[in-house]
Amino acid sequence: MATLDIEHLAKRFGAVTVIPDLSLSVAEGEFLVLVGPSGCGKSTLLRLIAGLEQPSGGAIRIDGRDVTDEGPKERGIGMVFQSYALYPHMNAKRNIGFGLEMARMAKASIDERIANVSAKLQLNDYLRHKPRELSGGQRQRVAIGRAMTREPKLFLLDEPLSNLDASLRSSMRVEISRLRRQVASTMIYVTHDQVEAMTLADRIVVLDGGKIAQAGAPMDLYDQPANRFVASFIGSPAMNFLTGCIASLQDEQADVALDAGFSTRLKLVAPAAQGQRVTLGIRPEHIAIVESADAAQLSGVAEVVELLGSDTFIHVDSAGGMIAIRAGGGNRPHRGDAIHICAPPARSYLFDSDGARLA
Amino acid sequence: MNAPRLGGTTIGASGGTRRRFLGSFANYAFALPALVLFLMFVAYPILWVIDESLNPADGAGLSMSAYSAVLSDSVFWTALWNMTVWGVITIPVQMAIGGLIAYFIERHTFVLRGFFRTMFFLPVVTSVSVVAIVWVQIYAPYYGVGQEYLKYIGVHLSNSPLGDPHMAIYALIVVNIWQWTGFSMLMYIAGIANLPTEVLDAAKVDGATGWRLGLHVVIPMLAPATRSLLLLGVLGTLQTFPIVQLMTVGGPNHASEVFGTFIFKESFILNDAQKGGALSVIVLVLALALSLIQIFVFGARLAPTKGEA
Amino acid sequence: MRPRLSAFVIHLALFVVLAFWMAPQVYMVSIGLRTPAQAFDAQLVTWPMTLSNFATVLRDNPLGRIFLNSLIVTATTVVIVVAAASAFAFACSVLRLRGTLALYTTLLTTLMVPIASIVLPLAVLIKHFGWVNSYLGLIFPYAALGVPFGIVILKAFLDDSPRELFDAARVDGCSAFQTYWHIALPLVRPALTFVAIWQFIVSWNEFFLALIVLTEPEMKTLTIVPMQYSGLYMANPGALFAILTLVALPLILLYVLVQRAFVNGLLSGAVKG
Repeated sequence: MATLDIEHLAKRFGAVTVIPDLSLSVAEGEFLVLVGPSGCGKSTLLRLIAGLEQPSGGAIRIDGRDVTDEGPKERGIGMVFQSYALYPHMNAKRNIGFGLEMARMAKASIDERIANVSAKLQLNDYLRHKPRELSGGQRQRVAIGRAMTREPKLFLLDEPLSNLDASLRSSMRVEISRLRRQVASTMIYVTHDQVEAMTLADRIVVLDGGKIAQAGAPMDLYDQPANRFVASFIGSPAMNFLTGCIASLQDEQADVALDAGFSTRLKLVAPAAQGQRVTLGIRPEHIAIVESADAAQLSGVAEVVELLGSDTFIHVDSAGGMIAIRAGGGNRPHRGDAIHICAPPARSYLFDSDGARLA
Repeated sequence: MNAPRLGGTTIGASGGTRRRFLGSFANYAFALPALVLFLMFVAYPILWVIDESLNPADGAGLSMSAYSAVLSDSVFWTALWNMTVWGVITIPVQMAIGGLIAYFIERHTFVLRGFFRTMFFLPVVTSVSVVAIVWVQIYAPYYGVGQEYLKYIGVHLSNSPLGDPHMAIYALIVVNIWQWTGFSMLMYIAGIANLPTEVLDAAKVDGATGWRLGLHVVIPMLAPATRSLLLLGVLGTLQTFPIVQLMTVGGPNHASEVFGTFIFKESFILNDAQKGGALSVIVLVLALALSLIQIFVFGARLAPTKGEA
Repeated sequence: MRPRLSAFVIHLALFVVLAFWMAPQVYMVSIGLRTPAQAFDAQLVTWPMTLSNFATVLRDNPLGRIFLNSLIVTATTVVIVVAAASAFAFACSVLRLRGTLALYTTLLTTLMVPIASIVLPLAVLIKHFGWVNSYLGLIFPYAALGVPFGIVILKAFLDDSPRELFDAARVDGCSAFQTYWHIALPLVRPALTFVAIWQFIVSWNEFFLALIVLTEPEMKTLTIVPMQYSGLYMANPGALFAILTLVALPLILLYVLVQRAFVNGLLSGAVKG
């Protein structure tokens, strides 16, 4: 287990700046997830931590030691690649033990470690097979095994589940959670899937354009997003947004007039100005459906209804645009039905035109 | 893990190689053997040749006189013409025959595929000295089997075509086509294996079969292989030397002279290293120019890579 | 029925074309099997056949030693070319060492040089090193001329290999050489086979440099043997063609043996690993 400190890291590829200035600290044994849309720099950051890329500026410390100039070998890391990167001409056993073979460890010790890892990952039946003879899930476990055998202080995973099909993905997610208990390493996990992030992480770092949009525990990010980007990224289906402006201010409360035709009062967490253009955010699961138009703030017509049994997703065409609602499975409207909704202020968020959170 | 710190290699890195200098310096050892061989046995001779071409024997210092001697020599223009004819005929013909054979072998044979692939390639692996003598015999009048069969189609020749100033170069071209079509075939075999079956299936769904499939789908998709063959063909044409030297020595009376034989004659036999050198440089520049045009204008690659549509 | 018929027709057509294509070689063997009396018959094949030419030729010439010469020169050249080309391609494609790409382009000029041009300076160079009539006098020039093509093929294959494999090797603690030896080379093994076989064919069949460098009868390679014996032509073409057959045979046999690996080496570029 190791601590990781990233200080003012910068990375440029020619004229393109992928990471301008990033600082981050990871505690010992923490499971950190780097999440963000494509191109946000998360894979680049992982590669910089691994030592596969050299930073254009800044420093990286592992356990306090400056490793900025060192390669992957010296940093004592283990890495699972997105495509698994298993050596095609070697069988699973050799793949797993290859790092130790290169370090000239005694054969007996190598075999012992491989047996250990293989038992944990249930690979005993596949050790003699070559990668092309294995299924996606098996290959992934071999890749994990390869990283595990080196007993690394820092365990890096680059979108390991993105190449698996959906059903396998959820079961592998549980596996990785379990793996976490067995491996005494600090783990850094990169994904674009916010479900993986929410379920696996101790702490999530949301990246946007090479900058940290917010870092925190999953529930903190869910309940208290710092900005619109994080708010819309976390949670599925994504948060609904309605435009409006601040009608009046009183103490720390703002009266917001929505363009869709209703008003609501929210408690501010940051200063705001009267007349300011704002965006109201409300999650699909927090929207309340009411019986009649009188009790509702907004009304619309159900355009698409997705019945999943456990939940129902209703996409409503309203004066405020398309609104997504997540309702209980018992709620089964028909397409074309009139839907009346309310946005409870307690669960609503307010963002300014730059995306910063106001309420 | 106490392996000596080679400082790590700069795989994929793009900047900041502070303490890596020692490491990557040692890695240049990988490039060294190829470089040394090149410098000693290719670069040095080329420079020597260029130097010779600019320094006439009369010691008058740098001069282009050798070049003007070459350009004013009618043999040079004969050779240029022969090379053009050579390229214009051999390259497309080899491609056409090679391509057709490759297509039928790959798509329509199964058990005998290896057999056909091998047999058509055998002329390529036959030594030039053997090919030369056999074909001289074939072309020989009276006792050569070539003449015998030409009689069946009503062509009577009293001399070997190799001795006829008008026919010599064409007779040589036939030999070249015979020997090297197998190579075009092989390149197309590789190209055809590369064709994604999904695209072919989609085309069939769209209604293209038989000739139309071939013409509108297969041939365009084999373009990378064709471009490679064109590039290699042009370079190969300019390099033509042993087969001509052995069969006609560039004769009769320079009628079948090609660049290779002309250079050899001037440098080796007539001992005119200046003229030979000038000629060499001209051919080299021509090869370079034609290659660059093909690479930059047509996107030709020496080895067609996958994933090119 | 239609597909069966078209397959039959196609096979027939291929055989017909093949028959014409093989005619020169059949002719060559056939003359080798003729007595002096039949030798000048203008026919593809004559009967009866005799092996006396082959017997004479094998008895009168040190073909065994000459074969060995070819073998030593060619095999050594192949080893050098495969090693040097793969190492360079590795430095250029995987290590991405600065300057190697420019060097690569320069090396390609080798393919544009007419060999007739450099025969003279090479001969002088070889003489200077004292390598006349020695294997080294051919091995090094052959290697120098063959390496660029090898680099082109191997670099193309390495370029097409997934980068992550080499990253994984770095993470596993491989030095540059370990990556080269354990990962890169096995990855491009089909291409290595192709380059090796092609280089073998080209070097074995090389004529002019061999003619110039090897003047002693004991040192000659198989390819230049026919030229010595064309004087025999007048008297007994059968003997000459017997020699031609014997000269052409080894490489043909070798190719038949390795053709699967050879073609598969080229085709392996078609299937992404």
